[in-house]
Amino acid sequence: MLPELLISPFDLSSGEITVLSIDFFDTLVTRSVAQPTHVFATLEQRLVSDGQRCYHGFARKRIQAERSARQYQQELDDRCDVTIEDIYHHLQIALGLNYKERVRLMTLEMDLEVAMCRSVPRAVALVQKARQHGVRVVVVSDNYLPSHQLLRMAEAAGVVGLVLSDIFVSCEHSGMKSNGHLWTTVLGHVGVEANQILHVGDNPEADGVQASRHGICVVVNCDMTRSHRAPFNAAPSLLSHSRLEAYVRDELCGHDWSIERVVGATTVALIIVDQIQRARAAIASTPRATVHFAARDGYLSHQVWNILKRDDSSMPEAGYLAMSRSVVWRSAINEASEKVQQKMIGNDEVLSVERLNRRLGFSLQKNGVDVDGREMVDVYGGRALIAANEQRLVESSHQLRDRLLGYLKQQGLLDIGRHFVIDLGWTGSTFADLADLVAEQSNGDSVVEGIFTALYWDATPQRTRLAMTSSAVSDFSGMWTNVMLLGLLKLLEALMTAPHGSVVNYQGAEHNFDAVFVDTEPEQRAYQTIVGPIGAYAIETALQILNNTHPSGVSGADVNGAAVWASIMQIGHDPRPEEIDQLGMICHVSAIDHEGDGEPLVLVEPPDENHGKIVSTLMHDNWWQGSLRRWQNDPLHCDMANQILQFWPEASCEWVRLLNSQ
Amino acid sequence: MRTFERPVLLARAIASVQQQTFADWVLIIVNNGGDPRAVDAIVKVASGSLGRESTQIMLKHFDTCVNAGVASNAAMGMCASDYVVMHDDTETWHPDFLKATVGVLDQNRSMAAAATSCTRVLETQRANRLWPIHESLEVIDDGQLTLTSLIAGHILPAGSVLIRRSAALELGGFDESLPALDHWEFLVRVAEHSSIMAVPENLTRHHSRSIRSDDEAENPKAVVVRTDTSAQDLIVDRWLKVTMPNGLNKGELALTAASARQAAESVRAMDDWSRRVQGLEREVRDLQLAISADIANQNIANEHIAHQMVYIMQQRRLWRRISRVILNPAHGLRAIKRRVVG
Repeated sequence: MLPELLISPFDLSSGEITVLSIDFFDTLVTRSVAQPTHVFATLEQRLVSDGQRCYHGFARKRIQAERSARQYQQELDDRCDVTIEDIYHHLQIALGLNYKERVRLMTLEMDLEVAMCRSVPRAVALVQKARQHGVRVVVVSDNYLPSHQLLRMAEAAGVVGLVLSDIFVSCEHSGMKSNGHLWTTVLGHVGVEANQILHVGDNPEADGVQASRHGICVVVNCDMTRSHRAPFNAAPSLLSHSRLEAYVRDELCGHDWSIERVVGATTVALIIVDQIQRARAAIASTPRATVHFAARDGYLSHQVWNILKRDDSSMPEAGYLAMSRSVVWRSAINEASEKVQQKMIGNDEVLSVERLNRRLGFSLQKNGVDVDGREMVDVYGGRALIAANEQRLVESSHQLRDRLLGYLKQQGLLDIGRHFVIDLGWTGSTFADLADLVAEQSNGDSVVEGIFTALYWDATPQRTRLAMTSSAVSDFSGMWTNVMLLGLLKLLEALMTAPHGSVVNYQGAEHNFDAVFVDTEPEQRAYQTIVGPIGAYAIETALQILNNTHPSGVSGADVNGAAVWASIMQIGHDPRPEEIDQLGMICHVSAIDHEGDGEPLVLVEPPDENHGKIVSTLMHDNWWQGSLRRWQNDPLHCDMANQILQFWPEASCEWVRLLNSQ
Repeated sequence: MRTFERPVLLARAIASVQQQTFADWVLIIVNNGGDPRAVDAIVKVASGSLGRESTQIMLKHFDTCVNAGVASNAAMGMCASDYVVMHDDTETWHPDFLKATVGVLDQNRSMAAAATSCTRVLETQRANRLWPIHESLEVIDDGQLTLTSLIAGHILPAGSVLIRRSAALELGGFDESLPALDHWEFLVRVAEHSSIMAVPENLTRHHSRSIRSDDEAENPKAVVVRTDTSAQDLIVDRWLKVTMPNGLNKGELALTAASARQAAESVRAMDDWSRRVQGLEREVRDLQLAISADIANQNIANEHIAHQMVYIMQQRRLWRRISRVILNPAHGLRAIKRRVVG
């Protein structure tokens, strides 16, 4: 059932309201994209795909032109709004266009607005109800588009019965809703008392405060603007995310907003689609190769693969490879070196011998007797114990290596041929180690290749050992793009995960070398509350996209590395406050044994006074951008956040600027 | 792709070629006198994904380090593609590099080459690890690709230019006698006889290593073949003996254009400095205004505080009187009488 646009305490049937004034954009009419500026990105996409590559970056220039026009108008007469002619005048100068080209682009934009507009069903129902009760309907909008364009759009969206004289647009009436002047004009034109007018809009200031000041009854509903993020973030690569987010927005209109659904049905779903498509392409290019989704980052994609395989028997079986950096590293220890000791116990750690035993995979002994597991050791005591048990450590490592090789054999990775491993990525070092191990065991007959979502500069050395590709970001993407990826690694790891913990060991031959996972309380809690639902929405959406049945029209052809990166940046770099609150509570467990409480993704306050240290801490242990945005909204810490942004302007929410350097 | 003893950079450069969205390419790696085993190992890892029978990546080893032009011509002779790029191992491409540049040259048959905008990346290398420390964007437009601009010393990264093979052959390929800058000399010849088209999109990254890099990572032989002024002098010197079809001396044109370019750069630098100084002056003025406004505000605040103090004292006095009257009504009556009587 269609959710109603609630206007209580007002009643259209009582006769007290004689005029229903309704805001146009995001109240009566919306677009098939998440925010208005994405219309320009659509235009850019069309221009560039028509071979007009000179319009690369058009969307950003269009937004900039509007800003310039507004600034100019502000200096000239701050009562009036700009017109689309003003904006295109500034754009003409910025792009060096001739007049004909300016008019052509402006017409294209206006036509595109018409093609992309959709009615908001509950607002249309309200308009119909008003008319049934003899209430006159007028449209009042702060916009640069003329009234005839709005009428055209309304008719295209299926909103009928409006006439030009009932549309009041700021650019035609020398006044805006936001400064109150347009309301004076509206009152003069409709000719009824202000309290007989009910205005419904989405902007608390322009539609709420200013209308109320004129005595107009108001209802403000922001449901349709909940998908808005920084307006400047507009680029063709963003359109897949935008259309998916717009679909979620429309679905949730009149309902509570769902972070799980937004994140799951956009970014996580797009990552899955990209992983599946690239796995399919790899198999297509090397038919006898095998595909393995790495635990835990590839869990969701593995699920999707298996569902797709049910309907498509031509798809090969895909493995689920339980690997972790720590288990590969532990299986290659040949001495109790200082580096090994440092990795086993952090400098500020105090832990029980029992936990240290679990990290090492054997029981520590002193004078040939097992040390009491309850005994607590600090960094010095612990490292001394490890050094004293060097032989057992090396034996344990070799045993682990044997079990790991047994597991790899079970998984078919030691068979002759190519084996594609799909993972989120970052440096590829774990899989480069795996490739070395596999090549050594198979005399080079078995080759591992990495298919990753994103890699940053530390991946470069691994390219000498492992052939790997990445779609969203690579080590030869822009420097700041790499930095921004580093800032949100932990968030992505938290979102793209499995219901089980990390692999810490493998069982013996008697148990088929099954992987041993360790579950942690913070990760399980996060999975049950937020991560699990995100995954469920992501799987549902990814399947729709891959089967070309998603209602937004987004299909597999719309998903590539650039689209995935844009989506990651929308959520990870330009999150909305409620996303920061909810996702920021997830704890990331990074200890070598995958135990402990972990670190929350978002820090509520700066951990230090020094900017460099703060950034370093956030990059390594937290979600940098999420923490920064949170501090920006906190009066206590906004100074610190702004100071950091002065040093790191690239960290501002307008991430599309980074595309210049990419 | 020309390489010399830089396995990590080579692996990265190959990967950037393999990631192209335009798939119809052939990569010829010319190992210019470096250790063949290291290059073989890298190529084996990289070409693994292409299948054993694939000839998409080919390899040529030179026993000794030869001039870059020799390496380039040798590579060009190993394939029969429509277009060529002289890619160095210090360069990487955006996945759309070939798609964009091939598209541009396919559409513009009269153009001999297409050059993209480029990011210059300064990076530090320690052992095998690399990390960027600075980036600067060089946006290209048609004006920078004219004969005058190129001959004046505008040196484009070799990997940012896609050259029509037929045009390269007509011009006799690269000058094999030059120790460096053969690519620049070649592009000047291209601009002399034909045109180069600008692709403003930033699709190439040219990496150079910072002084903080390991000494051992710095290759002495690589330094020899690096862009340097002596090679430029040598080329201009040769040009002084060349008269172009329009009667101009090529060397004189190069020197005049270089002087004009230098002068223009100086003017631009002066303008930049002047703008910076103006900006600083504005900031100082704003600060002075802010300080004087602070002082004025401070005076107003002091005055306001003084008024408040007087008001508080008056209030206190009034309250004292009222309380005195409440406690001792006779005292109050006497006070009123005093006021009334005189």
